[in-house]
Amino acid sequence: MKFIANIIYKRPWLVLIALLVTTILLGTGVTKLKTKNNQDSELPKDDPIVKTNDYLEEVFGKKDVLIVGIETENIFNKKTLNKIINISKEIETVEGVIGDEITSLSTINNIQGKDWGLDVGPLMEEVPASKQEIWELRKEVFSNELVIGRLVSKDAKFTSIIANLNEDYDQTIVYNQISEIIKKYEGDEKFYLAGAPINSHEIDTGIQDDVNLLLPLGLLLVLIGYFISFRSAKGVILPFVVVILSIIWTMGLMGHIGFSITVVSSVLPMLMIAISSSYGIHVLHRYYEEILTSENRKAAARETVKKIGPAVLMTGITSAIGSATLIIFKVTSIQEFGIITSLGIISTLLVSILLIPAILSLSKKKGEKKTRKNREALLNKFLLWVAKVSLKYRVRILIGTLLLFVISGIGISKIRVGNDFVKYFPKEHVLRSTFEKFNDKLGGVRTMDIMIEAKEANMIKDPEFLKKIAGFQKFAESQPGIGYSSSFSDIIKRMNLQMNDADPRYNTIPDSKNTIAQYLLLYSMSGDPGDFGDLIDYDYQRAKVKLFLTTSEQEEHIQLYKTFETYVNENFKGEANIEFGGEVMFWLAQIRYIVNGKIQNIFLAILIVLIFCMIVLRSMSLGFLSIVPLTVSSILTFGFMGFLGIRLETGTAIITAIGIGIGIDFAIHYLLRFKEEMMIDSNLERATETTILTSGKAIIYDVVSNILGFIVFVFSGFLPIQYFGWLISLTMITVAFGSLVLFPSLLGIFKPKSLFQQKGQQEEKNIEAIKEEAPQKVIKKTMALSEESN
Amino acid sequence: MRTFKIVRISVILAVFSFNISMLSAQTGLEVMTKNERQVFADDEKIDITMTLVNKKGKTRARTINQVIKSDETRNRSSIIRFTSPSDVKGTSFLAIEYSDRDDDQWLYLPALGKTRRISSSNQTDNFVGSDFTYEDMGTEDLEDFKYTIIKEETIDGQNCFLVEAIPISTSKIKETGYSKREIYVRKSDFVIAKINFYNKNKVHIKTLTTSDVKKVANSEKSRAYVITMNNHKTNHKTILKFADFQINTGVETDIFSKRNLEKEYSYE
Repeated sequence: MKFIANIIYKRPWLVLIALLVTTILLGTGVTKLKTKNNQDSELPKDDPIVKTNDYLEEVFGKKDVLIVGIETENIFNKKTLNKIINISKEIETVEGVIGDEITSLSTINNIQGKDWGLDVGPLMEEVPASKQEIWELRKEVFSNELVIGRLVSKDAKFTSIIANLNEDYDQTIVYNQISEIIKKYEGDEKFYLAGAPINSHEIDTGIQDDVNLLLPLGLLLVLIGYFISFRSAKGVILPFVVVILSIIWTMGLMGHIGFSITVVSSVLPMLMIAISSSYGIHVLHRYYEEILTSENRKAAARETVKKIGPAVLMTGITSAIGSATLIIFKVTSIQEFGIITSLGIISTLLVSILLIPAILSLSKKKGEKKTRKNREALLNKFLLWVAKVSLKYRVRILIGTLLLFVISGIGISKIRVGNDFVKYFPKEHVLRSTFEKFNDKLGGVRTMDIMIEAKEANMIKDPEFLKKIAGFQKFAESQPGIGYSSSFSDIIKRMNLQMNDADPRYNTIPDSKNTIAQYLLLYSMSGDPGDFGDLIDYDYQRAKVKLFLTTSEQEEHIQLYKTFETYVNENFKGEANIEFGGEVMFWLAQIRYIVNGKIQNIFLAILIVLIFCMIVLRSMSLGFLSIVPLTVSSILTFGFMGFLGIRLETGTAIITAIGIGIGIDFAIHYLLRFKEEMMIDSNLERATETTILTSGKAIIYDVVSNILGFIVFVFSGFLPIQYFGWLISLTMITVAFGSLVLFPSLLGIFKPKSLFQQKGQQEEKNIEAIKEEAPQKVIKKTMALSEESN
Repeated sequence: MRTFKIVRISVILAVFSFNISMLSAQTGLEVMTKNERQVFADDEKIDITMTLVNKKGKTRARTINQVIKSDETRNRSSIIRFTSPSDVKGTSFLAIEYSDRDDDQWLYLPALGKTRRISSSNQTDNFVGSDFTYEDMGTEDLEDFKYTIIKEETIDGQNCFLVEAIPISTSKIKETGYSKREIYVRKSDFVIAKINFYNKNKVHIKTLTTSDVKKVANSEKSRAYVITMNNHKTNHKTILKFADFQINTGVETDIFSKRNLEKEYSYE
């Protein structure tokens, strides 16, 4: 610190130029930033589910889809049917759509027994000309199990057009082009857009909107905060520049490292505002204190760095460590977020310690006196009251806290984990309503893919094997939460039915292998050579059963998975290898990582902080004491989440790490000061009062400024970020409560030896002199100041 | 100004291409007429081995026996019978074309032991699950396209005319599924060496190549014994290997009957 202080003292220009160069160098990284909105590579590559999904994609191909949902009173009318035909054609012109891989009423391959014979081809090639024909089409649709409830809703009010996309489509182009097309067909029908490109587009737009709204809002709030604190141009501008540079450094670093912006890391600029805002304040405050006693600005700047430097450094390091503990999560976006936040905090630390003193030491205006009026009388009174109460009712407070623990415990037991992607968005968001619409009307949008891999090629064509697959599907569909399932066996059943004059007894898998082979041949005559490539592999060795889930509850997903696993293990034993994959399984894996990671993360963060505090406070018992507020706060936050129904998921998983990183400072500041005071006279009441008036006050300011920074997040377009905003603000309050109320109570009850005896006795002689008057002075002085301003 | 320029350029181009035609003393239509004459037969019997290859190189193979006969108005009747693999053996497919109404098509599945009439296929439908459409398998309808010789090019050591075939109307584009074909016709025997297919959005989606062109025994006609169709969109391909061409052997019209489908018919 001395070294830095001297450099600033001697060569302030050099420091400023170095900062400028660094800012430019790092700033170029901002242009490299990319957004990532898909779930690929979120989990470790060696995760079994990731591996299974990779394998499934390899065998059955990976295709994102674009879906247009059409809703109207009754889709079986000429106008709507005509629109279906036209959109199905026009959707081909969307860049990225695979021309003949479009599924809709007008394109779906259908084999239908008619009185004259067998109709092979698209279900509806042309708009039915008469009411009679419309009625017949309706009848066909309702009798076709592959269509009704899947492509057309059972109430005939909803249908969809699904287009496969090639691998290198551009989401923005797809979104814009399909929106253009839909616009032309607006009328009595309501259109819904869904599918991967739409989701990605909405996430990107959401991130963009968030940054556009939250960033200016956050900056405005800190400006107001600075103005209230300092009431001077310098007092507003300097810490504000620190904030701006911190953001540029952090985002630039992110770009250089190659991390992408995800929903989680989109909070970074705002988070940097919240975290960095207080750093500048602390430095500036100290400077104003120093200027009162220093001969000139340069000297004041040097003293500032020397004195506040270590505290800022410690604060920064604890916060950085807190964030860095996030790397224990095995979810990429959380890991990256932890690393970059940590680096961001270190950037803030450097900028605030270097920039403000360097500029101040260069400014030419005469040193202004600290003219702040004491507006703190009320706060002082309140703080003293808090100190008194917490000492007086120390036992009751402890019991009360324990009671809160129990209540929180109940809350924690209610915590639900996991969320699927669509719940990122608020209820009224178009994507959410679209999702629910598809889910309600077409029986499930979340999918679980089960691959049944037979011992050898061609086995899937075996009737017994197909019957087993069909049996599994029947079992699966009988489970609550499953909308429907689809597999190759459905097509065989459907053909058997149609080839036997729609006699319901034939809605089964035929007994003969030849029949199945010939059906397949017939089907292939009417379709593309690659048809049902996504249901069965070319060798007829691997089949995919796709389950469509209506429940979004991950606990139910787990239950379903277990049920199915037991079933397939029993029924396909020795005959086939079964793998579970698909979107639902992916989220289950992710949530497992989040829950495990969360638990590990809390313990790791607390452990590291514990060690850190033991070193800083040079005491085991104080070290343990220092983690109390954090622990209490974490438990209360979790309890709250449980009662409010806020789920533990990606967004909320990062709270504890950030909260602990910031919150531990409160404890350290408090205990250091308290220790200092106890060394003077070992007077618990006085030490508590002095501590709360000094460190306590600083804590209150920090809490307020942090909450100001964090509360911006509640205006986010993403629910997890909103929750993050609320919960981290709550964490700030509970940590402050833990420090200001719980500490006196605990210190009063347990009286750690390191504070109450050894030190006190050792240094008794040294402090004998000041023992008499000094302690009372601080309190008196403070109170006097307060009264004065009254 | 700009349109004017373009018009001028196209005029020049038109004159220029006309000159090429003059030089070679052939028009695109003439080339295609010669090709059609070479292809067309009153009747034809063939054994086909059809190999489907997906993008990973995995294959499915079937063998087919096909008999085709054209009547006076050039409407075709055909019987396709699968001879392997064994589980589809005997599956047969009968199509009769009429000039004044929809085609008749019947299907016989031996496993069910019955013949069903099935709806007629579109020209753009795939021929028995291959990368060929019915359009690709049929003969040229010369009056439906505008043929232009673009240039001459050597394919596999054979001098070829590159003939561009553009459907005369949008309805023909819809019917055939192609906005343009680039047809390479061998100068020596007017057998097609290669075709580039462009879909309605003018994207080159398929390429047909032929090889092993030979004169058929007891006939003056030449045939490619191997035809490959590559689908560039799906990276799927179909290889047709022909054997035992029998051209104009006098196939009886009455074999193209529903009754005949179900018989263990031998084409000797």
